[in-house]
Amino acid sequence: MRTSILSLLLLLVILAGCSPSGRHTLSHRSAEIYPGYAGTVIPYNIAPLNFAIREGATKYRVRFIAGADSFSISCRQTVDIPLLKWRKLLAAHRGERLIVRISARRPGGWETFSDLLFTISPEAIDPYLAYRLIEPGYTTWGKMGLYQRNLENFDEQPIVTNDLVDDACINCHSFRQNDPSTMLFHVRKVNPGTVFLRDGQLSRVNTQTANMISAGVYPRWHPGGRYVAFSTNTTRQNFHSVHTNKVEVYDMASDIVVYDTQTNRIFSAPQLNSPNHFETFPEWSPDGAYLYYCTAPARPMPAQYDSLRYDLARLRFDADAARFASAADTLVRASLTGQSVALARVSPDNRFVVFCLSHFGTFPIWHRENDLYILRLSDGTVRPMTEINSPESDSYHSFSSNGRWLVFSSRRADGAYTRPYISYLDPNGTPSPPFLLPQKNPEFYDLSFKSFNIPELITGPVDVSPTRFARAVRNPSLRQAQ
Amino acid sequence: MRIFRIAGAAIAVFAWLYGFNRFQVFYYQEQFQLFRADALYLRTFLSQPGGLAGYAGAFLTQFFVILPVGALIYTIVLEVLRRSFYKVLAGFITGGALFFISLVPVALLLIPIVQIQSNIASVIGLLCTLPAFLLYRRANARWRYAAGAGLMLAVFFAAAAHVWVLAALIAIHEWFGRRGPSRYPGVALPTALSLLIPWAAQQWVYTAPIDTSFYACLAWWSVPAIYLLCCLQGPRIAEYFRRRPQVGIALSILCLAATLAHVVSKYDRTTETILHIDYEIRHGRYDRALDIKARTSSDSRHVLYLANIALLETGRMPDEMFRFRQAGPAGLFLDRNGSYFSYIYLGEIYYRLGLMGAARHCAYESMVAWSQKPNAQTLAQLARIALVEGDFAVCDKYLRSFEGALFYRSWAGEQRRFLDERRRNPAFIPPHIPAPVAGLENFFINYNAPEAMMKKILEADSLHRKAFEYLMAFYLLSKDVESAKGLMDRYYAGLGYSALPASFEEAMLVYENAVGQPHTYIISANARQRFSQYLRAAQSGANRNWMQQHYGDTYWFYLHYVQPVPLQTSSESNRY
Repeated sequence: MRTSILSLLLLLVILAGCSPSGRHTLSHRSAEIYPGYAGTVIPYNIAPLNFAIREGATKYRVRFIAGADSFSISCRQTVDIPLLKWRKLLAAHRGERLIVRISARRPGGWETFSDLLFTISPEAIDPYLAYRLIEPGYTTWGKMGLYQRNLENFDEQPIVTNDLVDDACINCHSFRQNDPSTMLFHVRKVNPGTVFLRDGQLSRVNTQTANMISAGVYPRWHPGGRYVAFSTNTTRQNFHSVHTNKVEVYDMASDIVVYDTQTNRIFSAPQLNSPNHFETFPEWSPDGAYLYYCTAPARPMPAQYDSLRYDLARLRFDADAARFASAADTLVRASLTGQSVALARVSPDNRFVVFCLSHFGTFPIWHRENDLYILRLSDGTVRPMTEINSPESDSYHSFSSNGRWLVFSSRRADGAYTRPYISYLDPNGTPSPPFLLPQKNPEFYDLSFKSFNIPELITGPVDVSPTRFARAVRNPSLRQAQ
Repeated sequence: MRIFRIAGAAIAVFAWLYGFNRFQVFYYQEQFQLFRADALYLRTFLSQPGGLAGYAGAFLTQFFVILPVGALIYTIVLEVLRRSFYKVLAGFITGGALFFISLVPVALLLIPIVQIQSNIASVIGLLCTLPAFLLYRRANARWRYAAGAGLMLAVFFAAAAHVWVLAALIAIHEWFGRRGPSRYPGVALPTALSLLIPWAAQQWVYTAPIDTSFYACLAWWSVPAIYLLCCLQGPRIAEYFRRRPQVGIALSILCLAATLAHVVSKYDRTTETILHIDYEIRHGRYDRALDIKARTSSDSRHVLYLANIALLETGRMPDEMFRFRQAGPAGLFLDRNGSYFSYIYLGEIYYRLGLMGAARHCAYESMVAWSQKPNAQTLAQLARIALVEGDFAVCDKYLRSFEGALFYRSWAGEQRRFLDERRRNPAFIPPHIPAPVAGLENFFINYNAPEAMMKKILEADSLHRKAFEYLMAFYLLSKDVESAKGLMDRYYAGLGYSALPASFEEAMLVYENAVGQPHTYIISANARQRFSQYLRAAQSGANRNWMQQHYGDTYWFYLHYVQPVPLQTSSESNRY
C-alpha cells in the first residue's frame, strides 16, 4: 500500500513536470506563426504543417487536438510535428476541426494563446506535386530541375535536373490529366527538343516545322493522350527601369498548333494561327471536346506592349477526325474592361475555368496585379477568387484530379519568389484560404533562392529515373514532327 | 633543422599566396560564397558526392574575409597535407629527402590553387584520403578488405573522386605488401570498388552527374605515383639518399623550382589587378584603386572600367580621365555576354548612378549565372538595392541569409536597422548606398544603348552630376564633340562647377577649332596656350611617342591618336 502511494506521488510529480507550471495566463490573441497556416482547409493526407512560432519565448508547448484525440509536443521556435501522429490524427478526423493550442513559456509562467483552427477535409489531395525549381526567370539560368514532392511527407525527388543534360534549360513540364505516366517537357539550347513519356517509352521530338514560328512552347495534353496542343511563340523579355513589375515578357507573335503523337503530325486551324491575332496558352476541356485558348489582336511589339490584351475563347474539337470547328466562342472578353486573360485551366468536372487576369500582356507571373478569376461555365459568370488572391502575382494554377484542390504559384511572401499555395475548392467553386506547401523546416522558404515554377498535381510519382530521362535527352536520335 | 625547413616552406607558401594571389584566391573565393551555419545549407552540399569536403572547404573559406587569415589557413592545410604524406612515405624513405619528397604534392597543388575557380575543398579531399589510407595500413590483416571497402565508401561520400587516389594507394600497398596469388584480390577489390561506388551512388543516391564534384587535379596523382615509386625502389632510394643526401635534396629542389617556375608562368597578374581594384572600390578606397591603375601596365578593359568608376566617385573624372590611357566607350560600359563577371561589373556603374532597375537586373543575372550557390557579393548588392528601392520583403529575405553567416551578422544587423528606418521614413537613404534617380520615367533597359539611358537619368534629374560627367566622358571617348557641347549647354550651368574641368575645356577648344563656332565657356589662358602648342607640334609632324609624352594626358591626344574601342551590341533571341 505504502509503495502504491509513493508510486502515485512520484507519478504526480512527473506529470506535474510535464505540464506547464507556474502562473498560467490566457491570451486573447493567436500566436504568430510562420507560415501562417491558421484558418485553412487541409487535406487529410497532407504532410505535417511544420511551422515556426514567432512570439519571442524560449520554449513552447503545442497541442494538436481533433475530436477526442490529441497529441502535444514541446519545442523551441520550430514546431516539427511527428509524421505518424499527425497522419493518424488527421485520418481519424476527416471532415472535423483541427485545433492547435500553443503555450509559450514566459518568465513567471505559461501563456496560452487563442486556438488556431483548421478544417480537415475528407477529400484527399493528389499525393505528388511536380514543379520546376529555378531562380525567378531572367535571361540567364544556373542550376534548375524538375522535381516531384510527396505531399504526404517531405520527400522530394528530382525528375530530371539540368546538370545531367549539359546545363540545358528544362521547362514547361506537362502531364495528361494529373497522370504521371504521360508527360512531356522541353529542353532548350543544348540538345533541344521535347521529351515525351508515354506508356513507359521516352522519345525526343523536334516539334518545329517549316511553317511554325517556333517549336512548341506552352503545352497541354488532350485528355485522350494522343494529342498535345502547343502554343508557338516568338517571345522577348525586357526589364523595366522603374516599374512595380520588374520584368516584361511579351510575344512578338504566337499561334497554337496540335501535335499528334501517333502520326507525328502537326496541324492547326485558321482561328489558331491567324496572322492578325496572337493565340496562346491552350487548354483542353476534360472531355476533350473543346480547346480553350487566349487570343488578342496583333499589335506592333514592343511599342504597344502595354495595350496588348487577351480574351478567352474556345474552339470545338473532333478528336476522331482531328479537326477543329470553324467558329470559336469568346467566353471572357477581358480586353473590353482593360484586362488580359492568361493560363485558363478547366476543372476536372468541366464546370469551372480558373484563369489569370492582369492589366495587359501574356506573362502574368511578373505582373503584381495579376489575380486568379473563376468562370462558371454553366452561366458564364466570372468572379475574382478573392479568398486566395493577394497583392502580389497569383498565377500558375492546376487542379487536383478530383477537382477539390487547386495549387497555384504566388509571390505574396516577398514579391520575388513564387511559392506553391494550395486551396480547397468546394463544389460551388468557392475556394478556401490557401496554405503554403509545408516543408520540414519552416525557414526553408526564407533561405531558398529558387522559385517553384509550374506546380502540377499528379496522382503518383513519375516512375522514370533522372538518368533515364538524361539519356533520352542526350540521345542523338531526334524525331522530326511533320 | 627540420623545423626550419618546415617554417621556410610554410613562409614561402604563405608569401606566394598572400603576396601574389591575395585577391584572386582569398577575396574572390570568400566573396563568391556565403557560408551559413544551418542545416539547409549543409543539405545543399550533401546532395552531391564529396559534399563533406565541400562543406568543410566552404567553412574555412568564410575566414578568407580576413585576407592574411586566408593565406594562413591555406598554409596550415597544405602543411597538414604534407605531414600526412610524410607519414605515408615514412616507412620507405628517411632523412632530408623524405621532407622534400613529401613536399611534391603540395608544390603541385599550388598550381591549381591559385587559379581563380579553385576550391580549398580539393585540398581537404586529399586530406581525407591520406589518413584513410594510414588507417587502412594499420587495419588487422583479417579485416583489411572490409576496412578498405568501408574507408573507400567513406572517402567517396566525404571527398568524391579522391576515392580513386585511395584505391590506387590500397592497390599499390596490397601488390607490394603481399606475395603470391593472395595479392590479386587486394588489387582487384579496390579497383572494382572505385568504379562501383560512384556508379551505384549515382544510380541510387545522387542525381548530380559524376563529374560535378570531381575536383580533378594533377596533384592527386603525384601521391600514388610517388608511393608506387617508393614501393618499387624504396630501400634502394633510401640507401642512395642516405649515402648521397645532397642528390636527393638537389633533385627535390629542382622539382620544386620547376613547379615554382610553372606557378609563376601561370600567374594571372591581370585578374589579380582587376580583383584588387574591385576590392578597393567596394571598400570605398577610390584613391587606392586609382593608384593601382596608375601602377599597372595592364590594358585590361575591366581595369580601365573600374578605374573610371573610381574617378567618377572621387569627382576627378572630368579633370583627370585622360591621365589614364583611355580606350573608348568600351572603358565606360561593359558588354553583356552572359557570364558572371560581365553582369556583376556591368551593373556596377548603373548602381553608382542610381539606375537601380539595371543594377538589380545585373546583380540578379550575375547571381544566377554563378553556377554555385548564392554568393555574398551579389546577395549583398541585391539587399542594398532592394532596401533603397523599397522592396522590403525581398531585402528582409536576403538579409536573413547574412544573419546566419559568421562574418556578415553585424553587417546584416546594420542593414536591418536601415531597413527599419526606411520603413518608418521613406525619404531615408542609408549611407554608402546611392539614391535611386528620382522621377525617372519608366523605360526598357537597353544595355546596347547606354547613352539613351544616361540621358533619361539627366532628364529626370538635371542636377545629377555623376550622370552628367559620365555621359560627357562617353561623348568625349566616342569623339562626339558636338554632342558633348550640346550636353554642356543643357546641364553644365546648373551643376555648380567653380571652373571648367580640364577635359571639358580641352573639348571646347576642339569644338572652337573644328566647328568654328563660338561658345560661352570660359577657357583658361593656360589651356589655350597649351592647345596652340599642341596644334603646332601636331602640324610640325611630331611623332606619336613624342606627342604622347607631352600631351598624353589631354583629350586632344586621345582624339587624334587613339582608335576607340566601341561597345559590342548583344542581340536578343527567342526566350524559348
